[in-house]
Amino acid sequence: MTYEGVTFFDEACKKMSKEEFIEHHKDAFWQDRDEKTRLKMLADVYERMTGEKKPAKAKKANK
Amino acid sequence: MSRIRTCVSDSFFTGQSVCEIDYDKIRGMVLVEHGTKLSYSTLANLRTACHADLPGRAYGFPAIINWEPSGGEAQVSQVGYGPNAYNGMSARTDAFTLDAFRHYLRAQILKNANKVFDMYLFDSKNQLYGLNDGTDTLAGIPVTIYPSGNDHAGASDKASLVVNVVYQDVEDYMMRLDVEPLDYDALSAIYGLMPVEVVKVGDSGNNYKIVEKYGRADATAKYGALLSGTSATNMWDDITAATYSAANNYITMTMASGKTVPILKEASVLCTYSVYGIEPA
Repeated sequence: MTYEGVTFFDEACKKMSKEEFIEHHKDAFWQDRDEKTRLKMLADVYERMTGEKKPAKAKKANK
Repeated sequence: MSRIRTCVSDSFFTGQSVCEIDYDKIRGMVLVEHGTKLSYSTLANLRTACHADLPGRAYGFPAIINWEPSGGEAQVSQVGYGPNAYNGMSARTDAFTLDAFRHYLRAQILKNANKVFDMYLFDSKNQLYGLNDGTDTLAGIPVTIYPSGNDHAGASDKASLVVNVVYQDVEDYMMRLDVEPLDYDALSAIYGLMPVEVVKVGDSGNNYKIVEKYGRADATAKYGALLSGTSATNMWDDITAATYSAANNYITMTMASGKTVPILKEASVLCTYSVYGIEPA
């Protein structure tokens, strides 16, 4: 999946635990952002890849 | 029945086509392994053939800007006080001048100078020239190649590279030459491949450049975005993530567990994802 300009290789990434995944990538990408933000983004990526986080549902149109 | 002999030249057609072929200037050349055929029914077929895995690859050459034949002339001789009689064709070599001198291409041509290839030519009107072998697909013309030209610019000439094409049987070529009009821009589908290396920037970190093996040109700006975009997962082995920085002109890649080097996939795969003209060195 591609997230904020970075393409993640799902199969290889899913072999890692969430902690390993974050540790592995935190110093490589989005270096223009602070570490706290990067960690949050990587956690989000991992959860989306593994299905831990479901994509946000589209808001229902107001009737 | 007693033994009889049939004359091979018992037919003679001198008619004209209702739609004459307009033979135009040669602009493109593709070589294939001897005995194999070029796949050219569509633009995608031709482009894919130029990126195929060995030994089925078609070797496309850069644009041709001049053609100069030498030889291939009728040899006529007289025996005693008889009339002159045709006695075969002289050996023929065509000189195809490429659009620019490239020392690495000359080296590759020289390296393959003793090998027989089958040649296809393309003219300005997208007409394909090959041999009629009785099938619906043209066969290539058996040739060998060798380079010539000038390494450096002189007082009046620029540096140039010439691919000399030696016909293996010029009479057979003349007897079987055929032309097939293509309904697409064939020249845009002809590719020769440049081997590239994935080179780490500095001694540490995760940043890499795409560098041409011959001449060491930095090709990252051309291929970086393509090789790290949404299709990148199909183009690399042994990495977990990739992104291209246009500002820094490098690709940042993280290795998979236990791996230390990113592996770029072969040209036939890259071509599927619109990355043309390169293969891993």
